[in-house]
Amino acid sequence: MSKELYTRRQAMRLGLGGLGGLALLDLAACGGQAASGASTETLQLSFWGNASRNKLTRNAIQAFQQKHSNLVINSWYVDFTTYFNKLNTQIAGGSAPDLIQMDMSYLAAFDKQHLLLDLTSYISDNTIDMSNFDQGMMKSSEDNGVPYGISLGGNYECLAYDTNLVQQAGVGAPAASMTWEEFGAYVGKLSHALAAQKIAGIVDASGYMDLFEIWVRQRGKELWTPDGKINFTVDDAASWFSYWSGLRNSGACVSAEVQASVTGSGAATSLLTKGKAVFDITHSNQFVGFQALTKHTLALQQVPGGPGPGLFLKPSMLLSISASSKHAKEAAQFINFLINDPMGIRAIGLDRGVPGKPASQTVLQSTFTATDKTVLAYFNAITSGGQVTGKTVLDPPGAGKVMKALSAVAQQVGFKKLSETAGAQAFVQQTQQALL
Amino acid sequence: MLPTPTRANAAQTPERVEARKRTRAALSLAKKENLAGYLFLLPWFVGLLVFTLGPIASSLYLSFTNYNLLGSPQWIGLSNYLAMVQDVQWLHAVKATLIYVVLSVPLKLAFALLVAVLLNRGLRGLGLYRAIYYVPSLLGGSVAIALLWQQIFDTDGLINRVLNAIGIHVNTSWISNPDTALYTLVILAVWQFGSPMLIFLAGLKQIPQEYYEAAATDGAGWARRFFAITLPMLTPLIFFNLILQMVGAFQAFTPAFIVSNGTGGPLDSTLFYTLYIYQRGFGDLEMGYASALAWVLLLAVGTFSVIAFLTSRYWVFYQDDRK
Repeated sequence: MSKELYTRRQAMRLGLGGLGGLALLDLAACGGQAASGASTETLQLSFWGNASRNKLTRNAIQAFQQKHSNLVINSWYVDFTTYFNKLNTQIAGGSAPDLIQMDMSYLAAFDKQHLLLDLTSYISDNTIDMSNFDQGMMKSSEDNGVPYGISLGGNYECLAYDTNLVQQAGVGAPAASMTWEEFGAYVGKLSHALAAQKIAGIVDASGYMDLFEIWVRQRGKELWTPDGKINFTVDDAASWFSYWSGLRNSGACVSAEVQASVTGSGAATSLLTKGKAVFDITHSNQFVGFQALTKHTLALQQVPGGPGPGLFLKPSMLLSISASSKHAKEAAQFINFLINDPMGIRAIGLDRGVPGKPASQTVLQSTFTATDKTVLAYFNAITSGGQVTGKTVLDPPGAGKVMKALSAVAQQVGFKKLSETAGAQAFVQQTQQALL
Repeated sequence: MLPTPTRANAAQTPERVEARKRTRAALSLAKKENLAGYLFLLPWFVGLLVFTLGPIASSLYLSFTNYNLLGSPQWIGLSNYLAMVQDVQWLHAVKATLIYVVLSVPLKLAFALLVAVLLNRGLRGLGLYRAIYYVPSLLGGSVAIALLWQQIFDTDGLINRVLNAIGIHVNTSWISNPDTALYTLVILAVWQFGSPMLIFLAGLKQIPQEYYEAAATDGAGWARRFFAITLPMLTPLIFFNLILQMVGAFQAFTPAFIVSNGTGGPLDSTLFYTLYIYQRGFGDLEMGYASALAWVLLLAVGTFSVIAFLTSRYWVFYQDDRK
């Protein structure tokens, strides 16, 4: 017994020895590439998402580490709503993650601060093999013609709905394509039929930038001018707010109060998965996440049609490398692993969108679940349908702020603190300010 | 405190006393001890300089600059401070914070005092009750509690179910209605009454029992004894708790951050001042403006504290005042 106990002095010595050892290890780690093959490099990856994406990502990392025993990739993730706050804080602290999951709305802002690495050289020396990668997706993820990130998948804006509730309401399945007016009438009928259960036809999406963008593009213009100024008008915004006020006042969409309870983004906080609305707006890649959170069967529905085509293939979730990364080469290898190695492709699946290489889809074929097939069928139907028009102008550096402004103004309109026109004016004015 | 009789007295031989006097004069034991004390303080002092005073000083400098965290700060004079006056969101933040402080602090103290008085009746298992009532203070900032709060105050949450059961039909979500959201956070704060309660409980135990006995003999009732003895005797602790809780309430961040997921919504109704600082500093990368906001908060808290101290002489009762 007594042998297992330490005297104070022995314990002290052990503790100090341990600390010393740790310090030595740290030094060894700092030695980096000069050290022998036994030393390990540690990289950090940051991304937004949920627990299920984290699991897939960790699987991919594990597979990668098996092939590169000298590399360790640590990762953190949070919900999209707080992701950029956390990332900014970390970067300001001088320790940017090596691998940064990046959104198109923030790409220009990050590039402006020279935070991201130009990947051209890694692509030309084939560290990242981009052969056969979808050209449209590649082009639309570049800033000023320079690739600062590789898209891990493309997706389309879409609506997801609860087929069980539609059946229960007895109004028949939605037509494959509808105008906004037809769609409004349809969700109105749903609300009416499900009023006793306090279920509305659709969420209040007036604060969703992605959907507003399609609304504007269906009117034949982009949100931004090529030099990064505002390109939509007060009228565009007012018509948007009016459309949603119409749905809100008739009860076709949820009340402002119910909508205000949605403070996060994604499936976990969705009113659809909570059973308070039949339709929600999402991206095609997130459909799997929605389906995982409800026992009802969900289906995909195309965004209502406007005067012209407005949908576009969104290169979602670029993976970028920090400009200050000491392990840029290894980080590039990891990106390559995710888009080219069958193990990497299988590990992340369709969670981040449909991969940019046709070969990846073939790799995935055998693993597709019924939900995956729904997504892919929708994806291909949209791609070949007439509602798509490529995005020609990138989001300017202030786009992230504009996104927040729309959500704030839409809430004010929803709670009737602002009229639709006043809201539109406020939104346009805040947009101009954000783009200065 | 009493000298132990045997050893201490044995040491009081004349030579010993003489020797000690000499040592004290020559080496100045007190100074030596001070020196050792400061030496032990050194790590803390370095920490204070590097992690507290340094950042405070640099935030004062940054408040006069335009600083996006990534580039270098540019001096813009008083612009940040002047911009606040026209900043609608700043006004929302000030309003939400003031309402929160003015409501939550007195309510919390009253509730803490109430529970402390109830517990101070020679209950069996007092330690257990103390621990139980203290638990909310430990949990208050956690994500789980924020989620619990959402469940309780949601449209079909606990509150509405209870109200429905007793025939009051309410169909509002207290937490996402801009008119009521802030009050749910006030209730959350009041619920975390643990630490002032413990302090009050300790204070109650210090009040001499004789006062109550004398008052009872003279026929004073329960209320009279509370207002004439308990409350005046506790004023120093009430004052102490008031300052502590007020400063804490001004700095409240976590409840609003978690309940609104960092948005301060709906309609900025729960946009606490510190949350707004965070949004501007780390969300919008306007650290210069955020620093200016922080300094205004510091001045406000300082002003309120000074007011509290100045008024304290009229209502706080110290025993040694009676001489």
